[in-house]
Parts: sequence; C-alpha cells; structure tokens
Amino acid sequence: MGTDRSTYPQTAWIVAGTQAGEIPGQGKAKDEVVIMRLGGLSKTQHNDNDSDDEDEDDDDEGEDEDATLDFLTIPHVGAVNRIRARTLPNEGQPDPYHVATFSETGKVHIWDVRPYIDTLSGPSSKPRQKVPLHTISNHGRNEGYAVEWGQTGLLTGDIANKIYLTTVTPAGFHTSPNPYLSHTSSVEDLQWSPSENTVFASASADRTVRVWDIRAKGRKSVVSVEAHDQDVNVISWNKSVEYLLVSGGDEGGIKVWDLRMFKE
Amino acid sequence: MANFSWHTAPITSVEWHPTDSSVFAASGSDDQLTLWDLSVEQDDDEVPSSAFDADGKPLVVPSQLLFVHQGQKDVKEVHWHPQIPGMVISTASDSFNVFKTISC
Repeated sequence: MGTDRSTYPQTAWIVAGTQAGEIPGQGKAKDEVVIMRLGGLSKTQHNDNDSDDEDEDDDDEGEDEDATLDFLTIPHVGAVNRIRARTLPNEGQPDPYHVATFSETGKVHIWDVRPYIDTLSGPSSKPRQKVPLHTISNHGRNEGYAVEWGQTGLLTGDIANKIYLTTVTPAGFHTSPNPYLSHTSSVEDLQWSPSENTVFASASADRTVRVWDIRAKGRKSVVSVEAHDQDVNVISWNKSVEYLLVSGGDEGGIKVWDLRMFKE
Repeated sequence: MANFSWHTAPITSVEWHPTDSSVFAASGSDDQLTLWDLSVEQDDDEVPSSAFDADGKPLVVPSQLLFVHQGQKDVKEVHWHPQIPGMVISTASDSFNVFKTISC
C-alpha cells in the first residue's frame, strides 16, 4: 500500500497467532493463525467544545467512518509461540507472502498468506491453503520463541539453545542441518544486522547478547556480552544506525548498546 | 550506552522506530508501553517533574521517556507500522491497541 502514508482514514494489516489453552471441560482449544484487516482507522474525536483548538474546523477527515475489522483464520497445531511476517525491503508486494510460526510442538511452519490478504481485499478466487507451505522439524520437540526473517533467510531459536538457519531458494526452503550453538540457555530473540547480511544477533536466558557471522567456522558466536542481570528477553537492531542495538531484560531494564564497543 | 530502569517487570518487547533512528518503543509485564527518544537531552533548567508514584513520592521521569501508554493487561508485543509514520500496535492478554501519539 506504499510507504509514508499519513492521511486518514488508514488501513493496516496484521497476522497474529493464538495461544488458546484449555476450554474447561472440553480439553485443548484449537489454535489459529489470524489474518486481520483493520480499516477506517481515524483520529480519535474529541467531544469537548475547546475553542482554542484551531484544527477542529479543518479536521473533518474520517469523521463519519467507524473502524472495521475483517479477518480470516488458518488452523494451527499447537499454540503459536511467535509469528513473524517476512518483509522484503525494496519489494512492493511479495507473492507468495510468507509468514513463519514457531509452535509449542517444536515445529516451525511457513505459510503463504497472500490468498488470505487477497480475499480480505476484495473478491478473489485464489484457493486458500489450510496447510503450511513448509515445516521445519530441526528443533525436534524443543519449542522456541525466536523467529526472524532476513534477506539471507529465516533464523529460528529454541529453548535448547540452538539456532537454525533456513534459506529460501526458487527450489524451496532448505534448513542447514548444523545449528549455531554457543548460548548456554534458551534463545529468546534473534535479529539480523541491517547492514551485513551474514551477521545476526541473539538474546538468551543465559543473560548474554551475542553477535554471530554465518560464515564463522564451527558456528559459534563471534562476540558475547553480559547484557542484563537476568534473562535477556528481546533485542532490536536499529535499521538506520547499524551499530545501535536495544535490549530488554527480565529485570525490567532497557539498555542501548553501541556495537562498535563490543570486542571482536 | 544508555540504561533505562523505568519498567518494573520483565520487558516483553522492544522495537526501534522504522525511520527515526533515535526513537524506540518498549512493553513490559508491568502493563506499560513506553516510547523513548534518545536524542532528548537532560535539561537541568527544567522544573522538576510533577509526577508522583502511588505512595506520593515524586517520580523521576527520564527526559528520554516521551510517552507511556496504559490500559492493557500484560502487554506482550509492540510494533511500529512499517509504512504509516508513528502508528503503534500492541497486543496484550485482553486486546489489540492501535494508536499514534508522537509526531514522527
């Protein structure tokens, strides 16, 4: 739909996964991947008569439209621990549109949600698959929470400290059989470098943030930093300033790192 | 480089703004969603904050903290919309919230 959209009303698309749990007396509820279209998003209207507000007269965009929510679902085996849509920079509308889910069963599923988006956008005759395009079984029975798409491929990290890389080729998906292994506890989050497509960072319950290069022999991390007093839950790599990384920990702390300070 | 201990429970999500390189959003199990701007500097001439905590003690609000969004329980993820500037979505145990506050 284009970048830098700033007029109202707005439309936004999201994919979400459920963690349905148990229905009392009925057993496990069915989990799903949900594709949602949020339409008619407008500014919140104020009901007070504030004569100081100069903008009131000019701002009648989207006044009469209510927000809308339309959605479609795909059955999913197991609770969705994490769901991530594949965003390809410089590409308008990827087709197929890949979404990855890490299930509590240990399997990572890759779905094509393009037919679902098309159906929500208007009449579409594209068949909607209810099964994944591909399933990664390399994590075995170990569930995980770390999923991250990048130009080089899909990274997935599990509670058994392992990180697998799956590349996407015209022939299909291929997962390297040998994991990246250096963390001493569960891998919680993964982030590709915005500037170097062989480099990624990871956050772990072992309290470290590590930086890796997929070319490194032995598949070990290149740099390791004791980042937080407790588990490191999340990290985000700044897209425009490639040496800035922010991390969040179990103790509630948020830290911003200058990666140029990390020893090689 | 910077260390913010504002949240009082595990951080569940953190994400840089897609285009403004000094801004990021964070969410925590303390039911808060916070927006931060690293480029805001501490101004010593500023009047001390008039915010108070539940016990009546003055709160020290970091100058980089732009905005706190509350109202959801157990916020799990927060994301910036990649194309609509300043639009944030958050998911929690009870709801999705989609909102836009700061001007970038």
